[in-house]
Amino acid sequence: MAQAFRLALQLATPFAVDHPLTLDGLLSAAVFRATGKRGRETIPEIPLVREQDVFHGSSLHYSKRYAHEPVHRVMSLRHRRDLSPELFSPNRKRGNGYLAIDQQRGAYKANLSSYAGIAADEVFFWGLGDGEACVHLIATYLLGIGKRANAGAGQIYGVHLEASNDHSWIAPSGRPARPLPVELWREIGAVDMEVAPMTVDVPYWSGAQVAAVFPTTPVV
Amino acid sequence: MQALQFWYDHLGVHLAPALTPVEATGVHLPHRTQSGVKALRIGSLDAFYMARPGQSKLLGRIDMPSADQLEVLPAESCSPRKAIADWLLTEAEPPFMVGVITNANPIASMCVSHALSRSAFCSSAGRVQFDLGKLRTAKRLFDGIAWKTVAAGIQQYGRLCTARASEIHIEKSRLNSLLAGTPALRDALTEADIRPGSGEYTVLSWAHIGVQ
Repeated sequence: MAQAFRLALQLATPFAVDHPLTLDGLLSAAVFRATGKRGRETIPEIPLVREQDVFHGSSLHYSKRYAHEPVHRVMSLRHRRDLSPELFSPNRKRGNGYLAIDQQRGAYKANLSSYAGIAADEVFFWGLGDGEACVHLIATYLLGIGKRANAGAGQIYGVHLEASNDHSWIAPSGRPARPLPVELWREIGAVDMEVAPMTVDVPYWSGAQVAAVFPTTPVV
Repeated sequence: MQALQFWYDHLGVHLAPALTPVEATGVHLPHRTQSGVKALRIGSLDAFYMARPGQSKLLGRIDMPSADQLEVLPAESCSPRKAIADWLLTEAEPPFMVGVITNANPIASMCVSHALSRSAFCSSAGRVQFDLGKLRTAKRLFDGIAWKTVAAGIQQYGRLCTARASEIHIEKSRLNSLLAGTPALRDALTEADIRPGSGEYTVLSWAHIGVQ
């Protein structure tokens, strides 16, 4: 039975997201890890109520107790003995030679990537659906949230569920709690909001963009 | 690709009308170098841009005349980042694109700012995202207060916001002593809620380059 809930994630490290990360997007990633299904295939497995092709899951929010901290990632190439041409088959398009391996910057060439991140002890979502199933999916299958979650960014160490009013579409402030098609917002909303082209449904990385309202700030 | 097309439609086409959008991001243009004017790939020397329908600007060492809808400005006489920050604070209206083209391929970092609250400065070294509405409010609130004082206040306000319960009184007293000479800054800091390291703080600091 569908119930309204507030799902909080305790984070150990800063996270980096550059779009309003939604609960259904996060659960879609968990479903992918659980079943191998991708994109739209995950929609039937997401335990949230879905109306008018939009899930009842809010974007990520957090309290005012946060700081901006960069998320760094160092990609180190391996030692030259690991890159020895003897380990490779001839791979030049013509002839039997080998393609050149760039080692000009040393055996341990390292590339540093840096992302603008947020350090918050806790982030949360509002949802409408099967809260326990959401907790199970996130706690079992996700290491973290946002970019470079596999490399330790946005590491989740606790998932908590509590009953709440339904703010999966409209936040307590009366503003949108997630990206919503502007037509849908006009049906349900009360305040005029900025509109921008955004993806409002899974898969967020490749879905069609529609004119949408969105949470202007994740801070509650 | 939408962002690349936007960049091309409002800026790239004035630089390389015969090339495709992807090719235009690597067009060779005359640059003013220490050894005279040379044709270099755009981005060999940082090229900052402000793209907006009918009113785009290019800031760099590019040696070419302005066109009807493209103003080419020299980077030698002003700080391009300050010029961009000033433009954002006074003129920019969505949709627009601001950013810098450097040696790295700029296409992946390009994005259009469709709404004030989701604006971005595009750079292959890392996108700077900010809420332009919040930024303009902050600029108005901090108007008339020395940037040095404002910057110190923002840093201390950030520390106070993230302080542990046992350290709040220490951070609060530090903020109080900092604000002793400028009581107006206290309300401004709370209302603006600009945090150190944020995109808003970055752009605000660009706007104060060369200002004490």
